[in-house]
Amino acid sequence: MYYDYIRGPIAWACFAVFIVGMLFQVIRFFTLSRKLGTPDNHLNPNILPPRTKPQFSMATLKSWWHLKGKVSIIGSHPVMLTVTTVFHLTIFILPLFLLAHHTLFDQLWGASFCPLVLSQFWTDLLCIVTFGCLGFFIARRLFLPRVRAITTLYDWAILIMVAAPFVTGFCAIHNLLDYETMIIIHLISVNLLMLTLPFTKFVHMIFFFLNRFFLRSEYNFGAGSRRW
Amino acid sequence: MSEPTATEPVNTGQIKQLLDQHKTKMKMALRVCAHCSLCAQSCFLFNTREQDPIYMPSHKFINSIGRLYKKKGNVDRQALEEISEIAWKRCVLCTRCYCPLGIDIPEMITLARTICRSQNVVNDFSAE
Repeated sequence: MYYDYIRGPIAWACFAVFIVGMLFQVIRFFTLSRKLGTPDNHLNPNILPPRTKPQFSMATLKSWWHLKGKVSIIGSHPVMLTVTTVFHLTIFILPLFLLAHHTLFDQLWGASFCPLVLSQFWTDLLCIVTFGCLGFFIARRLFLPRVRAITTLYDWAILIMVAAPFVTGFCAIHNLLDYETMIIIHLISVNLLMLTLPFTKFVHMIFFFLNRFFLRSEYNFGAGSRRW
Repeated sequence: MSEPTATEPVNTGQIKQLLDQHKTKMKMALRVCAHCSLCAQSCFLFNTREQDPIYMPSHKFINSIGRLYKKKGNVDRQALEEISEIAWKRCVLCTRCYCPLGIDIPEMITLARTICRSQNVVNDFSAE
């Protein structure tokens, strides 16, 4: 009974909160940021040089690396950058293309709409990669002085919240612990995650893209049409 | 209204008012910060002070404006002096710090300075 209730109306309500919350954050970003060229009270917007569309070639890439790349995050934190990129990709790919999820959609709607479904091997591999990345983040928080200096209980809670659906899902698939308990915890943790995504530190999932594509900064993608 | 002197009690109402004026942006910046520390190397002071975490841009804004926001402006003069130490001595507002999530850290430090200045807590460079 609990299972159907958590999987049904509660999950849909949490999904609705997630969508509305994310839309609210996007609107807030556009309300708080300004279009380039509007007068500012402490900075002259004209000091920012006009940006042209970037042209890609080996020469421009080489010049970019020497001028900016070496001092950017890609140059100063290559390992963290790789791990964080892989982690964010896996936590996006896994739930969307998981076979178990598509079987569920099939049962509910009579059809699954995704042409790509992960095999058991890839599911396990991506799960293990996700756990490895989580282990890396935990190690950073524990042992790297500059990360430890700003780590709070909130950060640990965020890590636990993001790990819970993957750990419980993995345990459920492989019957590592009691299946029913694992599935219930899995559903609760996913619902909780959807509910909190737009209103907690997880909101960086949308702000990362808004920042990279809309704000003008020397390290962002494209020309950028807005500024804070 | 005359400016409060260094011995006068802190006008928390005035601090609250200043915080409220920038509440949305401040709240958003504090919420978006993932405490990843990737901003560290973008600060020249962090690089030249033996990579001491207290010079990290995120550490500076969390412990200045973040502290004021958490306390809802209810701070004493000593706390403001500690915040002014961060806002003036650990940051020169060169605006070169870079946050991968797009937080405007210099603006947050500027706000911390404005609040300190409103209570006459300023860094006296001539005294050094």
